[in-house]
Amino acid sequence: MGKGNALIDKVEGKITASRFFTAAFIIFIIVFPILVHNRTWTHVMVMIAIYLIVTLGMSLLFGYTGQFSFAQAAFFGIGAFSSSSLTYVYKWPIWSGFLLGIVMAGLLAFIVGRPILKLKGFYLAMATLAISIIVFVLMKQLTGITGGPSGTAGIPFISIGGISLNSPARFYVLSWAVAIVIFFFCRNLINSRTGRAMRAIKDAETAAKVMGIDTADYKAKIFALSAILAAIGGSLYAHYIAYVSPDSFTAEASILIIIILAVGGVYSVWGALIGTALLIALPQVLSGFQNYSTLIYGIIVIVLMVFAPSGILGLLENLFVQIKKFLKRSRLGSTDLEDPR
Amino acid sequence: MDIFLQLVVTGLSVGCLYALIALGFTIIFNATEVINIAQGEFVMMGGFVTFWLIDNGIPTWAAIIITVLAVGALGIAIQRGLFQTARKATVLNLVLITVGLSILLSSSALIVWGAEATSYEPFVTGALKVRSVVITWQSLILVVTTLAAMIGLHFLYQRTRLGQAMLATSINKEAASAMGINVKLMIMISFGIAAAFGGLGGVIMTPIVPIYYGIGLSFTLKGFAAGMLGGLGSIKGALLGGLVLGLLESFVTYYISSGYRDVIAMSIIIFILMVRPGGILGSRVVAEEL
Repeated sequence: MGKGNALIDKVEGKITASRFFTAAFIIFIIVFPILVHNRTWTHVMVMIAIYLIVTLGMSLLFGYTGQFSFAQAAFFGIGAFSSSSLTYVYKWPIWSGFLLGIVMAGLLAFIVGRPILKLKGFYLAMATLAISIIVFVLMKQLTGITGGPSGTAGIPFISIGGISLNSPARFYVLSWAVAIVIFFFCRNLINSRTGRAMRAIKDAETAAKVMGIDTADYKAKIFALSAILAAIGGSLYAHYIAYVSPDSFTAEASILIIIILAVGGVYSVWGALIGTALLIALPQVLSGFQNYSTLIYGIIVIVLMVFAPSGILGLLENLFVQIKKFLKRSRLGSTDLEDPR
Repeated sequence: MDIFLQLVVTGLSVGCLYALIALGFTIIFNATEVINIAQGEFVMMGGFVTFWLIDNGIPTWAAIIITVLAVGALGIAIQRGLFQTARKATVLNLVLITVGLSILLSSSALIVWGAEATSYEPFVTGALKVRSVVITWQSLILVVTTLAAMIGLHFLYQRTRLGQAMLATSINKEAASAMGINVKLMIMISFGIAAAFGGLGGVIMTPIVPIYYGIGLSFTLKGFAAGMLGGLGSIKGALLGGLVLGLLESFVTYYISSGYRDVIAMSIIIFILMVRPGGILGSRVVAEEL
């Protein structure tokens, strides 16, 4: 009895906390550009928005299939190069670049995903890693489309209502608008009935298969969705930085996404947000240390993984639960036998 | 025909390096279910430490021994200091620890030794010539050492009590522990051996292929691919996978193009994973949750 209520307590507590944090998050995003005019930090915020979109794709994938993909950076790159080649090389309109990126990433993910998502754990990881490397090499070799190893520069900026988004401050608005929409889309998807049903399938996959649900098919669709999000991020990236090169889309970049999720907390979109914000801002914070910055970065990752295995979100949640317990105890006296309500 | 043979020779010697790395992967994976992303960095450290020792006047033979022991000790320290400290860690956390280590080691190498490619003199200079096929003595040393390492490991696992204990631990920790085996110690030793093998590979390979601070990741990937190809979890698999990968790369680089070399290797991997995830020899552990 007590346990059941404690569960409701925790869920309700989470929802309340969530409303508060949602409001705080949106207010922060809106207020930031008004208060902060530093170009470097605005740039960091834009990069956080872009990487958040990519990471959310991974969040969905993990949330629904329990699998990690090392190919996010490859899909990110597909989006970026689709945009760069269509708009710079062929002079097509900007939305076509986005569309091509989305279609290519989604198709590739779905086609490849159907067979490989049957693999478990690290076998799947290895397959996605292999895909990532193949895509990377192709990006370097197909010079006509991608500009080869040295990449493509001079990608056109996006123009909205006649205003060219050619600076961090201007792009901030677009990138965060998209990021916030996707963030809440993912959050609602995960919390929706469909979302819960899909997670139930994941947890009882054998049962689902026995009932005739084609789990490989729906897993491939999730994979495609996560790839599409990465591609959207990639197209935004291309039109922001105005320069893309294959070196930004290596296996290491995919590993970064996984680190972000693990550091933030794999189990929720908030984890994705915390992780992305921390790990994108961190190199900027450490930049003063030059060569030592990467070293410190590595140390931080190790320390976090050793002492915060459920990510920072996990740490915060534990903290939250401890605080609640403390408050209850001091209010009602410490009888555990009693219903805490 | 001679080109063909030369490619075979090159492929086999590179393959032995991959086999050593794959072996390290396999040992750690057997002991802890962790994919050691930092395995390539052990190879790199092997090369750099040897270089540093030789540079400071230590005779080559001593440098080799010290380096291998040092890298092995590093492996043990990592397992003892980090893995054992991370109590509630999932396998993913442990893998990410190795990622952090990989970043840490490679950036340390950059700070200490700079960004340039580094090498030192081969242990035996010159080469063997059979008709017009050239086999450098250093590659031969690499091949012989790899075979010796495999045989030694096989002997360890099959003929010694320590080896049997390690094998038992990798098969089933609880059962091994119930039999009185010190599981933690076995895992530590496994790590040490795996690291030492990686370092050994680096020590011998550096005169052939100069190393630089960032070379770790590509070794890790190749070694992992080789291990998967042969069947992760078996020694023979590591050797077979390494040799096959080395040969494949050698031929693709020559007949197709060096740019596409990695594509071929990786495509093979995907193909294997879809068709026969256990690798050529079929490993004991086929389906594993991360």
